[in-house]
Amino acid sequence: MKKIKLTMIAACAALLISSLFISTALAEIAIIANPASGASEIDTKTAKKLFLGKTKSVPGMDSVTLVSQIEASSTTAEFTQKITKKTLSQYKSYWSRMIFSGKAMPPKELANDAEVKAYVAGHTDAVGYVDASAVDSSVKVLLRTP
Amino acid sequence: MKRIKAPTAALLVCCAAMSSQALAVSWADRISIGGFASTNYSLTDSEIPFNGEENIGHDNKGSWSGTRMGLNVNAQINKRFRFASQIFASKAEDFDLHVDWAFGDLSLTDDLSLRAGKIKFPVGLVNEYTEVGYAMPWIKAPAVIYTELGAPNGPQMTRESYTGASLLGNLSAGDWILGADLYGGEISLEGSNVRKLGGLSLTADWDDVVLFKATAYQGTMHGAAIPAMEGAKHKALLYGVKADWNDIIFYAERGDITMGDLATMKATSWYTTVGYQMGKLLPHLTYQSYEQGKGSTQEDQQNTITLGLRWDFMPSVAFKAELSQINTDKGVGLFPQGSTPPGTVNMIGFGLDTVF
Repeated sequence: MKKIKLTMIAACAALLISSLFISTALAEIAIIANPASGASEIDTKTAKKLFLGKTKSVPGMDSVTLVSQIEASSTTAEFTQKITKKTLSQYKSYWSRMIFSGKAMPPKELANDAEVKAYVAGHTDAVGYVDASAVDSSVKVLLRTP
Repeated sequence: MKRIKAPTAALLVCCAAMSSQALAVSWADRISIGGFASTNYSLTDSEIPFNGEENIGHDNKGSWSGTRMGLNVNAQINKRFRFASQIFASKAEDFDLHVDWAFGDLSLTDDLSLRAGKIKFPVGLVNEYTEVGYAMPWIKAPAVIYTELGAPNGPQMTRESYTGASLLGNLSAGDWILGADLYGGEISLEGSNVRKLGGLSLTADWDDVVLFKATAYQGTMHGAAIPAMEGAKHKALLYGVKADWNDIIFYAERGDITMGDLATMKATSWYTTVGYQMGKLLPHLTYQSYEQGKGSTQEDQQNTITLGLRWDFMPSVAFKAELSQINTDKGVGLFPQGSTPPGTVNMIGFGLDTVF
C-alpha cells in the first residue's frame, strides 16, 4: 500500500514538473526568417528595434517584411511582453502612432503561428515571431527567448 | 484648407491600391489599410464656449465636437518606395472629408529617406498623431500647444500638415536613436497661408523609454485677415520630453511663438503630465499654462488643471474620463475674443477611442 502511495506521489510530481516544463516551453518565443534569406542571429535589442519599426535591417538580409500576429493570438501577448517590453495595448498604441503619422508601414498581420511559419517559409524577405514549439526545419530561428 | 468630397477621397484610396496592384506581384502583401475613430462628449459650467466658437467649443450645453475619424492606406510600391495617405473627418469641421496627409517616401538608405507631398507637420511631441485619441493618454492633446480643430484663437503653433518635402535621417548609437527631419514647403490655412516654410525637428530616443524632441520652424504669412500680419515672419520653437518608465508616464513640453513684431501675437505655452499605469488603468494629472501678448494691450493668462483616467477595457478600445478646471487670470485665453469668461470654469469630458 505504502509503495503504491509513493508511486502515485512520484507520478503526480512528475506530471506537475512536466506540465511546468510544457507551459514554459509554450511560452518561448522564436523570431524566425526564411532559411534561404541569409539572415544571421539577432539579439533581443535588435528584435525590439525591428518590431518597433526603429530599424529596417537584419544582418544578412537585403530587405525585411515584418510579419506579426493578430491581437487575439496568445503568441502576440507573449511576444510584446518579452521582446518589446510592452503590454498589448501599449504595443498597439505605439504602432498607431507610427502608422497614423505616416512614419512606418505596419507589420503584415496573420492569424496564428502556423500562418506566420508558412508565410516566412515562402518569402525570403519575411521575419516573424511564433511560439517556439511551432518551429520546424522550414524556417530559421534568429532569436529564441524564454 | 481645401476640402474634398467623399467620392474623391475614395478614388484616392483606390488609386493607391491600384497603383500598388499594378506594380507589385503580390499586392495584398504590399498594402495595409487601417483606421482610427474617437467620440468625445464634454460639458462645462459656463455658457461661454471654451476653445472654439458656438457649437464647436465646450460649453454648458454639452459638445460632441471632438468626434473624429480617419482612414489610412499604406502601399509599399517597391523595396525603396512607399506611398501613404490618410483621409480624415471630424464634427468640428462638419464631417468634411479631406486629405489629412498623402506623400511618397523614397528610402535613400536604411536610415535616410526623402518624402514629398502633403506631410504631417512634425512639431511637438504628439502633433503627428494628435487626432488619434487611442495613441495618447488624454481625450485630446493639451490645447495650450496643440490647437484644436475649429479653435479660432490660441497659440497656433501646430498645424495639421504642410505641403512640401522633407529629408529624414536616423543614427543608432548604443541604446540611443538620434533623428533629424529637415523640411520645407507651405501651409494652407482658411483664407491665408504660410509660405517659405522651413523647419528642423531633432529627436533623441533612449530605448523607447525616454524621447527628447526639439523643433524650430519659420514661415511668412500671406493673406492674413489682420493687415499687420501680412508678410510677418511666423516663428516657433517647441521642445519637450516624453517618458514611459516602469509604469510611470511623463510628458513635459514648452512652445514659444512669434508673429513678426506683433506683441499681441507673442505666446508661450507649456504643460506637464504625470501618470501611473495600473494594469488596464492609467490615471494621470496635467497642468497647462498659456500666456499670450505679455505686456501688450491684449494680454492672456490662463491655466488648466486636469485629472484624467484612461481605461483599456477591451483590445484596441480605450475609455477616457477627465475633470478639468480652467482658470483665466487675464484676458480670454482660449475662450473667444471679446467674451468675458468667468475666472474659473469646470469641465467634465468622456471619450471612447479605437484603432482598427
